[in-house]
Amino acid sequence: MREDEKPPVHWLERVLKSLRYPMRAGLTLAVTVMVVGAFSSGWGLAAALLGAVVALVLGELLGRSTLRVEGLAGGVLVGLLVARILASAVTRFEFFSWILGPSGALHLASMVWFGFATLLVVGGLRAIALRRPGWVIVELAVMSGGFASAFAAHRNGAIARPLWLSDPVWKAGYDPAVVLLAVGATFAVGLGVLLLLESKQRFSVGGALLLPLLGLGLWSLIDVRDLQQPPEVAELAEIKESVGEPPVSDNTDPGQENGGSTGEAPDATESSGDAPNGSGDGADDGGDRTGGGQAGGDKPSSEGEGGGEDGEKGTKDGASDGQPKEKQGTGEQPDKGDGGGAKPEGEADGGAGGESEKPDGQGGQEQGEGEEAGGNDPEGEGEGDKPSEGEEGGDKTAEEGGESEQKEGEGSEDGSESDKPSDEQGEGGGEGQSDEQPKPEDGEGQESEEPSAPSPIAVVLLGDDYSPPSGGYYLRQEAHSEFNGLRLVPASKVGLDQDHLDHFPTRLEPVPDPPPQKGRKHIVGSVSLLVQHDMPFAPEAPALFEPRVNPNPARFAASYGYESWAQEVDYEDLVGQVAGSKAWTDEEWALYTEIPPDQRYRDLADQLVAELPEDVREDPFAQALAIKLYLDANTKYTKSKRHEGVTDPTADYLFGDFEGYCVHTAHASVFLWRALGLPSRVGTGYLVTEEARRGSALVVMGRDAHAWPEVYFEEYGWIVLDVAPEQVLDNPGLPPDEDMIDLLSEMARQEPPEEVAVTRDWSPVKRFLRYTLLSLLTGLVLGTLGIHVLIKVWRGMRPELCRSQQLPRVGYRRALDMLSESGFSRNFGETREDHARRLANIAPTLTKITAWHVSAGLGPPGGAAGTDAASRDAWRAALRNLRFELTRAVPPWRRVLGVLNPFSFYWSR
Amino acid sequence: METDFEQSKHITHEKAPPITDAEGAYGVIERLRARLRRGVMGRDDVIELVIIALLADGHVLLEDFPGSGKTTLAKALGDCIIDDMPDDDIVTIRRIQFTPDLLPSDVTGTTIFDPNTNRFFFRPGPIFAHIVLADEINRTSPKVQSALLEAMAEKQTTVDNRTRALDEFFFVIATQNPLDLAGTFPLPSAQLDRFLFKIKMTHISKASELDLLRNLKSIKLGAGDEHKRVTRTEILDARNVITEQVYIAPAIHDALVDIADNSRTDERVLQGVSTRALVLMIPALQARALSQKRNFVSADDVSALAPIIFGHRLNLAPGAGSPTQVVNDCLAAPLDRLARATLKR
Repeated sequence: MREDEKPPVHWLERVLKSLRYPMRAGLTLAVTVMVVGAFSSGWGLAAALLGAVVALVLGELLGRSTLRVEGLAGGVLVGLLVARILASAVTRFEFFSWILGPSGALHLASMVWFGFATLLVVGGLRAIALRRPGWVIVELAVMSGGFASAFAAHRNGAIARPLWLSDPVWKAGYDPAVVLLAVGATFAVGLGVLLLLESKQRFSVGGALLLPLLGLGLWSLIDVRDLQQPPEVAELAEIKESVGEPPVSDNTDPGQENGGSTGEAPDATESSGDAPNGSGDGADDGGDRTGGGQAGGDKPSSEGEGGGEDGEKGTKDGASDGQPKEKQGTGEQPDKGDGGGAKPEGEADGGAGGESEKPDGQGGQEQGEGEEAGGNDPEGEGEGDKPSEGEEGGDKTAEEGGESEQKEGEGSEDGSESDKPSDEQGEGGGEGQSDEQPKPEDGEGQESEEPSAPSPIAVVLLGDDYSPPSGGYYLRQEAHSEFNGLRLVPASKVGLDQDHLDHFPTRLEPVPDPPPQKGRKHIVGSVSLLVQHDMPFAPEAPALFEPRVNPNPARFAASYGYESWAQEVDYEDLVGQVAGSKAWTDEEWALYTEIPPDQRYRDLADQLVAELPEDVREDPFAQALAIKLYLDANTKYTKSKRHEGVTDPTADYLFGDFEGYCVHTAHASVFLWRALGLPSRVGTGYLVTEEARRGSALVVMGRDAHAWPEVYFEEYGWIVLDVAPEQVLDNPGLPPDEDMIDLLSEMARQEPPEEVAVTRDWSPVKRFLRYTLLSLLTGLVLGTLGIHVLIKVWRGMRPELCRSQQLPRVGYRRALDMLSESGFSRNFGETREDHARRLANIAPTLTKITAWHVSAGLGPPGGAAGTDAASRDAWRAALRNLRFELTRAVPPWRRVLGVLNPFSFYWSR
Repeated sequence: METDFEQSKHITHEKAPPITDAEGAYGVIERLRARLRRGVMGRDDVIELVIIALLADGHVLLEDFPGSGKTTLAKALGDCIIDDMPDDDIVTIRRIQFTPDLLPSDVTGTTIFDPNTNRFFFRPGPIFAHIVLADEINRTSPKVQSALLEAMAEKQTTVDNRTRALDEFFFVIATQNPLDLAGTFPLPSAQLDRFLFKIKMTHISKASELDLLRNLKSIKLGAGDEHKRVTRTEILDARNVITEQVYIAPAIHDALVDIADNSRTDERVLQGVSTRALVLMIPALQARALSQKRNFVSADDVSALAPIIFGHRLNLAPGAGSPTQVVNDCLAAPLDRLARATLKR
């Protein structure tokens, strides 16, 4: 015996190897929880876990027994069938429910089924894997497949499943995508280690080095997307209930914050529900419609809204109780159901629970407050709606606005009605909704507005490079020009303010009254809505709309294209222009210059104009600018002041504390301009600043809802001259997530998702890795093939090129290559002569060639010289014979396959 | 008990030229082969091995059953050889039938008192022959077996403390019956080691058996007389030529060592191939190479001879199965390496 015995196994290795038992148990239990947890819980899961543990032990024992594998597999199948029958028998026969009670019987059935199924599957696989080591792969495949199935719904990071795992993570404030990835990665690593431990080979450090490489490759292929943040529970909670108050006129809210609170949503209809994406979706926009409320006017029209949206109205119970009651909305007809719009979204809000929406409606009619639960959409599950009360101040005639808001994930939306008045939110009670507003109502509710993660509601793509002179993209949806006694509302008479569309285009549809083109740039683009909306909007001034294929129905609610004539003329060039149009009728002039009957507007306007230098004192633009600058300098931006409950909120703002938001500044500007005779109106929609633009994309957030003053110049049409308050009292909101904007805009452009780099910091690295790995891989494959083809060709030509002493080796190698191509390789342990004898019937020439080769290889040195073994002619003839013999013996397809196989010479041995 | 064969016919012969090259040696093999094949039908493989053993200066143990042609084979072999030294008192062939009551002196010879001369003189036993057929060698006592052993290993025998040399040619064909083991004395492994080959004979093929029956008469009439015989000197010359002139590549040596090593590390083997077995194997390989008309030893020779050379030398663990299988397992890897080696530069 020699010394080189097998080295003893190191104790550490033995310890490591024995770790596979606890590891397998842990992984098996994890898979059981994932798989069974999806179908059952409680008793069934407990039984399954117990079954898994027993199965592991039993499997080890069975695997060491002498049972045949076929018997084991058959036993497992039969056992599964029996378990299934037993389980259904438990539920079917009354005996069990008589003994255990109905729920007990169900528990028992699920215990029987899941317990035995787990026991049989896990135990059977373990035993078979022990018996046939190759079957370990089946066991591991079942484990990883089962584990992965629990996450199957979580594709592309869009939906966080399983919910029981992701919800708590969300609540704790982490991104579930990361946590889920971590769980999956942990499992994968566990499986890999298990596989390693399973191996009978000794550990190889080299193999371990491959793992990180593999991981790196995977990582470079996976994008972690975290679109659509889940709603924050806190936000929901914040919404307070509204308190009914005396009517205030405006409802409008500042759009800015989350739309939610304040904003009124344009028609309520949008329900958030749509937003497909997971959690919180859609907020609709709030804000636009501010207008209505404000004006002091009071008459409510009852139109639409009545709170009654869907019917229920809650009374308001104190705020807190959320019991909705149903009353009917007093309001008139419920037109839209919007009011509420509530879109509850189930998920997120659940947490929010109580608060979430409060619709308010006010019912004017009924009790002072009618409220409706605005939000009632039935869907909302989680939330309690509480109706708020609205009372109406003035008259209580009917009206009520119901509004409800909802909160949704992020933005809440408010439902407002479309044309009608806007609602307020939460509590705001109904303000008037309809155009006319009823009297003032008040709503009050404020909601808290707090900065929160912004929620996107639309993606606007700019087809051309355009930078507005004002520094912001004004996306106009509608214009409010008619004074209803309280505030400005959309013109009620048909044919006025026709420079927008009040419905979504179903074909290419120009606006009825397109803007003039002078001083404007033609821009083309598209808008993709993330949530339902009631009217299209586009960068001012839109000229036509057209329907567009939704680039991603899973993500977007709708999409349309637009063409606009965007302002390009600089503001300085407006000096000397004539305000208003000579073509206007008296009715139009009256529409654009009507103001509240309050002398203070004129006094203030005159006073400001008087301060202008004389040469421009009569110039319309200079006058307008003077007023804007005055407001810039003196107003303070805050969303906390709503100026509700007064007869003229604008006056309350302008001649009071100057604290208010866009609706107030817009109304103040317009009223002051109108006092000077400058035709003007309030535009509503969204404002996205140029800084927020990402490439050609503008992502519109709920908080971007805005109202701004516009003044008309003869040649240029409506020019936005927005007030920018120098003092801002509110905290700025959180900036939007740039990655999300990129992602959304690229989806809207229909770019392939691969391009989407969500984790921006890593994307170049990933791209590089992906590129490197892919090209390495491709290069490796192609290079390998190429090299092998070259080698094969070289080996084929070699007998003609080599020196004659090499012939016995090279020529024989060629013969072997020919045999390998036909599938006649030498077996392991066979001598060359055995090989030749085995093939003697097929290739008799091989015997001779083999003798030549062996004599050169094993014979005395130099012995082959001068014999046939070193004669090229002899070899050439022999190889030709061999080819001929093979041609006869082997079917053509097999030979073609062999010739094409670049690796065939590996079988030449 | 001792049985003398009728001494082979004394055939006059012309003095043959000495054998000095492989070609001449191969001529010897061909003549032996042809004659033996004529005399023993259907045993070509055994004949081949016996010739190899004869030329490799080794002894053969045939394991088979009665009536399978052992004696015929031995007799035919004796018939092939011409004793060209008729004066040395050594006959061409002797057969010893081993029985339990046989004594060593029955094998080696004994000293006898001659009343005429009043002196003891040595009377050689049957062991003093060129070819000795030791029938049923396992039936006799170890004492007798060991007497034969000394002769086989040393080519000498000791009688009455006097050591006498046997002829250079000395070649033993022993047989034993693998089935009828009652009352036998199995050969210990040391003794088995003295035999170069242990050949298990099987029944001859149906065609050969038919052929044999049909030609029974002509065979009895002295078949093979048309083929030339070989002389004792020619065989001794051929032995020299084979050892001197048949080339063994270093790769073959490597393979042999690897095979022995494998047999020693194999779990089924208690005691592996001895170094002596390797030494004895070399001439056998050379002889086989020449019998295949090659002047070098090839892997094929190793593959053909290893089972019969190593098979009876391995001490297998219980339940290890057949020694041939074990040897073949030990062969596979070294032979594969050997085959690949010839493809390398």
